[in-house]
Amino acid sequence: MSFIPGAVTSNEEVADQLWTDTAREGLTSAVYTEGPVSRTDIVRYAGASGDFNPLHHDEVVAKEAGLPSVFAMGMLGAGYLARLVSDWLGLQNLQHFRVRFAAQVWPGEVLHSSGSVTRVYEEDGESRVEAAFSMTNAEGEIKIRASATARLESR
Amino acid sequence: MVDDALIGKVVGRVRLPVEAGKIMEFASAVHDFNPLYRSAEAASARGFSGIPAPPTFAATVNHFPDEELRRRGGLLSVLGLDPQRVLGGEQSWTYLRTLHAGDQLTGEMLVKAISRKAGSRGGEMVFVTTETVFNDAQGEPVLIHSNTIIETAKTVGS
Repeated sequence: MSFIPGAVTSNEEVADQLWTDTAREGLTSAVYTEGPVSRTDIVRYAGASGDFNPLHHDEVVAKEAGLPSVFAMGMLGAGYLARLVSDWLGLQNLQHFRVRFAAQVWPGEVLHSSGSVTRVYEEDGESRVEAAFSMTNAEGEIKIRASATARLESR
Repeated sequence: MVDDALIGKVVGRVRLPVEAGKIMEFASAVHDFNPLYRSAEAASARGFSGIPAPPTFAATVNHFPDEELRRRGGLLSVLGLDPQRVLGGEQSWTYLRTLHAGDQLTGEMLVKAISRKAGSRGGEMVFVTTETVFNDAQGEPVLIHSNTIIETAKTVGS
């Protein structure tokens, strides 16, 4: 992928999907790692999402506002985290996803995402799973707390 | 300044065209190289009726304000928020079905709540929560998106 400058710094790990016979409370997910986050990653997300707040891509404007540099949109981190959520719970099964932004993500930071099953239950005649997720930097600072619910499939 | 009179009001109408090329572009931007987002065959093999959109794809709605919202400067401007003082607070998505390439969704952004509290470094923080229900071309709701934006007392860098 060298024809795209700055492309693909993520790991290529793919979490095994949870099933009715594997989901149990306390089970933890694979850890997904992204980064170091580059300004190119931020600009690519700006273009893809249409979030053109200059604090995320224009270093001059960011410094004039008193920031040390540009910082990533919270939604870039949420998008990274969503890859783990959809691999682990199954995109087709996802019913609800919520992210809360705890700290800004700065260029150069490495991000680790992980999750754990908080509840396995029956509702509306189907098996469901609820999981909690977090994204931290290498120092363990929490950037995003998240939760998701999904249907569980039998295999 | 955020006006509390906006609570319960529709502040913008948006479109969300779900297209295969846009799905690939967005998936790449969030470093998701799952073939599901790139190949109709891979999607079909996993039981999807078309190329699906990743969970946070509705963020692309930023690109597609209706003419009035565009003319008024976008969502932050309509809400009276200062772009130099805003931070993302919380977002959530309730999926009534998976979005697929070919969906043409429309939605109205409704102001659900406005609240204020003292900031940890002085001044007042304002929390504005909008909710957008996206309907498909048949008028069926398919996605509910909630977004809480925080306006800090000072610029986010100070």
